[in-house]
Amino acid sequence: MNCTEFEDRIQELLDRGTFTESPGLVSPALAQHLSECASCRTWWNSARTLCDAITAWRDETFEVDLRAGVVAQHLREAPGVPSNAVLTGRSGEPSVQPARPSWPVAAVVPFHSPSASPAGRGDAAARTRWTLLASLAALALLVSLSAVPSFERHEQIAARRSAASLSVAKSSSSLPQNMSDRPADDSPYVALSRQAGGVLAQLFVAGDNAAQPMPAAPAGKAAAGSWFDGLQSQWQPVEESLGNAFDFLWQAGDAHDSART
Amino acid sequence: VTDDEVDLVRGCLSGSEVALQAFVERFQVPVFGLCVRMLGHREDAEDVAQEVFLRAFRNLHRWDQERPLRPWLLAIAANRCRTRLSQRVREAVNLDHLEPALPADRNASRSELAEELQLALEKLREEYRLCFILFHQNELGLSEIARIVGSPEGTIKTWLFRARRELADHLRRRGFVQAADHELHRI
Repeated sequence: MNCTEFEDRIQELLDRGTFTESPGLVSPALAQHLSECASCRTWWNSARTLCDAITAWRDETFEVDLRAGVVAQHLREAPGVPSNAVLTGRSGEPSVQPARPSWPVAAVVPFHSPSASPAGRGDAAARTRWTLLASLAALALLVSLSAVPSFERHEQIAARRSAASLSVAKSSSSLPQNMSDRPADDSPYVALSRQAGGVLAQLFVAGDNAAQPMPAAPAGKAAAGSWFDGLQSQWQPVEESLGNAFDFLWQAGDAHDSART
Repeated sequence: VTDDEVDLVRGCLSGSEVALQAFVERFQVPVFGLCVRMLGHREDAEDVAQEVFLRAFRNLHRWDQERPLRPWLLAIAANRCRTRLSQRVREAVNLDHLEPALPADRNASRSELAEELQLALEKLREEYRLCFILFHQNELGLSEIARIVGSPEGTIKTWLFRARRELADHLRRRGFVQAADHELHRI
């Protein structure tokens, strides 16, 4: 046996954890090499100590209880996901995937998740309020964008119809050429823009109210419900104003078209 | 994989607090053990172990049911420990406080021996340390370790070999190994 073979043999013994005190018990060849090689004797003794150290090290126990911390944090981070998890099977190897809720569901679920801890519910409520604010802002943007193209579109339609029906060259004053040519203050467009401005103001008020902290109550669901009901009641006049604005816009467009033709 | 594990995972995915707690209770000792051995610092190990479970819960739906849960969790733990160690290097954390003032003692008690081994482990290369812990503490086979570490089995064997060699040398240098001549009488 040479030194390399000796070392390999020692490593095998360490692998199996069957290191013995006496090399003679392991193999006569190993014992023979050990008696002839000083460096391998040192290695043998080191390996024996290492084996003892590994045993003592492995037997050390650590007292730890992570349950409360982990579970609380998990529920805080993802209060709605576990309750929506769905099972999907695939060729004997089923996997479980969380269902992705649609936008309105995602906005409302945190209020109604039975597994949400009180702390988690607070975070979820804040997220929901921001979601509502963002959607209100998006809606306001949509209203303003839909109003501006309508003005231009109606002008263009009126111009085309006017040109077609009269079959004469259009005078330069028949269409507004720039902003100063826009209708006077008493025109329907000014009224429309005033109405749209009112809608936006109401949206901002509703957004502000939505950003208020949810009132504390012993029963979280009850508090969430009353807060949500309050928001709905504030949203109702905004909704009506929006409807009126759209109606007005539509009628104004039609009236403008008929006046042109 | 036992049905028990599958049921446990299903329970966790359904949001059952009882199942989540049972999951943590079942695996916290091996996960925390790996973290504390890798990091050598109890508080760091607790933070990382907690992170491991949170990540596991977030990714339970991706768990391959062909594989037992324990190695899967240990793989997450190994990755988190590596990340934490690399953060330590970047932040140049002074780890001197981990060095105990242990006198070299030939008749060291088991606890001193274990403590010395832990110290030696912390000085090993990260790959060697991980292989050593997974093999000797978590009692995983070479193939399982190879899968966790992402290296060939032969490489794992070499790393384990070198780890033990370095650890044995460390114990000898620190005076924990009895003189070679002493043993000649026992051969």
